[in-house]
Amino acid sequence: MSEATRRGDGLLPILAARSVALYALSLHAAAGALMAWTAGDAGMLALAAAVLALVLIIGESFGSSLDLGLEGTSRLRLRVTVAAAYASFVVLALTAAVGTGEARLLGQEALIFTVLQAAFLLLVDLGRTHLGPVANALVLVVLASLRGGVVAAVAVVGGLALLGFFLALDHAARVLQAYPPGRADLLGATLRRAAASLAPIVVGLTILFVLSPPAPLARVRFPAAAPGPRDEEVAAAYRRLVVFGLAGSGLIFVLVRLLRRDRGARSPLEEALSLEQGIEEALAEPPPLVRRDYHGRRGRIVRAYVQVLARARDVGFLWRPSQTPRDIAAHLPAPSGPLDALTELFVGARYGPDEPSEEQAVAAERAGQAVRAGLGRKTRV
Amino acid sequence: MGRAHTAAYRRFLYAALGFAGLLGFALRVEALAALALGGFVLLLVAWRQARGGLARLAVAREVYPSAFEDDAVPVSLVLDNRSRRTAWLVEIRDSFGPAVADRQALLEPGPLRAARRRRLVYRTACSRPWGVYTVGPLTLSTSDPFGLFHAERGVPDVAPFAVFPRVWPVAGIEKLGARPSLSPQELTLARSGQSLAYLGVRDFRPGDDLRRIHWPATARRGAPAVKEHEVDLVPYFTLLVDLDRAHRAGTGLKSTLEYLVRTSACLVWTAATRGDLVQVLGEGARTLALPPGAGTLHATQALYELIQAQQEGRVPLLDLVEHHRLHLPAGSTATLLSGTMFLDLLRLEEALGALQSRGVRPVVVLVNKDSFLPIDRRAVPRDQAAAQAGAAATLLRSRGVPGAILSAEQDLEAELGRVDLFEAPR
Repeated sequence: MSEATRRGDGLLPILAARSVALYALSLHAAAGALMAWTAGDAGMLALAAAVLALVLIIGESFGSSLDLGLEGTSRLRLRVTVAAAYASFVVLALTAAVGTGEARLLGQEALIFTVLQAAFLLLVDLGRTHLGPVANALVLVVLASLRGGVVAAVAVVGGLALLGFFLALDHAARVLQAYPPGRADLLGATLRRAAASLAPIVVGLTILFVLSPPAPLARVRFPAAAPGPRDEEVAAAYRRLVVFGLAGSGLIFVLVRLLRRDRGARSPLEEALSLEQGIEEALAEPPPLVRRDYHGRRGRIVRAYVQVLARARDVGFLWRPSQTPRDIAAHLPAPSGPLDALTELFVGARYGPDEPSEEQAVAAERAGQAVRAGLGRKTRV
Repeated sequence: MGRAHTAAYRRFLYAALGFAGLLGFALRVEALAALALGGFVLLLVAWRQARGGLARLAVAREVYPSAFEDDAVPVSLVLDNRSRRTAWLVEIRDSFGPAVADRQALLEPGPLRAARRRRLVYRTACSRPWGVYTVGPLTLSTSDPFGLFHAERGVPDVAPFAVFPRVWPVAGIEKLGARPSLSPQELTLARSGQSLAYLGVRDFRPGDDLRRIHWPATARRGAPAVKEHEVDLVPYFTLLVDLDRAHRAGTGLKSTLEYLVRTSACLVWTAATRGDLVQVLGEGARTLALPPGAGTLHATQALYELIQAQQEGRVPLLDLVEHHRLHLPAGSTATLLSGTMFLDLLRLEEALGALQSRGVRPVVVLVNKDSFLPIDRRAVPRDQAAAQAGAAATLLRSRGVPGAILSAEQDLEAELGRVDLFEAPR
């Protein structure tokens, strides 16, 4: 699908919004880790915001040209190798940081993973998914959460929320990419659906952190001269971060829409076809299920039979709607004499033309009691 | 979008959140534990939404069950949302047998609101050759808003779909047999009927149409008289197809079966579209007997019968003619379509004579099976085949029977379109 033909459909805004969500997640995670373990001043945050925005724009716009020379198997081999190396590095880094408890080491790791985040954003279009930057952002969130306090709380809550928005936009973009362009103005709907699903989680975590502020990793040794940022400083840093983030997001949203080169692949055995959509019609309400009311002696016999069926269901005997009363009687593990009598009385009362006699109604109730007693108590398996 | 994409993030989250949770509980870092908890709640919410996404969504297909080769076919899908939630990004997969691709993937991006129905139409082409194919089953799939879980449900809506051979007008047939009204020759019988050809005048009888009163004769006789017209003969076309297994040769598009079916389809369609009553007779693995009828619907039925025909019969064509010739009405056209040139010429001459004596106009089309790749018996040498073709052509000429010989090297479409197809067999 060429870029020119894509211009008219609703995919590009979603692709751009996905880039913005990825940028926001990256910046939020990096800023959280930097503020937690380094000075995290305005200059550093501005630099991080600018660098991440720049590499993401480059990665989204020109990343697809990087893998032109790689065959499918080579690309897979590269991905597996990089993933294994990266996972080993993460485990090693976290073990070292937690083991030593050195704040300086954690600060250095925050810087290293921020640089890695920029690298992942630069190669964002290389793989089939955006797992690299997402994984690295989670590592940065983990680093920030080790610091405890407001920084950890904001890193966790914001990280989860932005991850959710990114996943929702990524999913919508991938589905739309797999099909020919069409009427699909899904940006607003995707954001609303994601927000509705994420809201309870975000609110729950926020309440949890307000009631029980997270503590830092106990074994971390902070330098005496650096007691850590105060809450006001953190709030001011986040205000600056929001400004930087908004500026970067706006830039990304505009530039990705202009520069992105789309690519989509589908199995040659499957053709993705465009649809002509008709107008939405209201479905006719299904007719209400009418239950006949049985009164008098007929009703007493039917109720006696229905009570037997209810007891049978309770003890684990299930029947199909296609089975007749006599079929049910043949398979029901109950005393056959009363059951047969009740079944015959029920069939006559339910389907026969004549009103049953008082003796028949009494006989049915007695037979029903006997069958229920024979079926035993609730022992559903 | 398959399961692979949804699984990648999901597996990563299982691993990463599990690791974070373990780390959080082991190191007593509440923020990490909360991160894991929040992440798993997100996964749980996504799982529930994916499971419920397909609930009470239903899809059904509406498609006209036949088309010609290379036709574009509109397939209508009716998607019902009987749930109480709006449906988004519903993917539908269909399997349209006559198309080249195995599956057709479609996306209904939504919103499809609760208790609503939307009709979706996709167009595909009958790219495969004639035959009976299946359409279906349908598959509905959707995911949760985050694309973490994928739900898919098959709808066993499988139906046959007939692809008819592309039909080309047989130009030579226009010159044969009966014609529609207003053409004087051979069309009417000198018996009182309803044609436009004038027969005479007779006395008025109760029930006669007043518009037929012949006023000058009425005035002359002093009693009402009406005009009489001749009987309009209905053009009647019979096709007798040779489905003898002994005449199988060639494969695929260059086979005697292909030529027989394609030629039959063209003859039947051309005759039907000009208004003839058409019947088709043959003896393959099963009897091919389409009773006489007119109109496009009847021609479609004829095509449906033809595409199911197999060259598995054991009844020679001339036996078939012998069997049916007494039932062919006078003034009709009977086309004998043989899978070989090597018919018994004496018997053929007898059969043609018998048909002509009944006022039936025979037409003979011979498919030269020896020009196709031999399957189970050797091809006749070229000079012998040429001699037989010459003898057959001489016989047809001597009896004034229109005929044609079709060979593998000929372009069937061009050959059937020749105006002089039946004039000089070559």
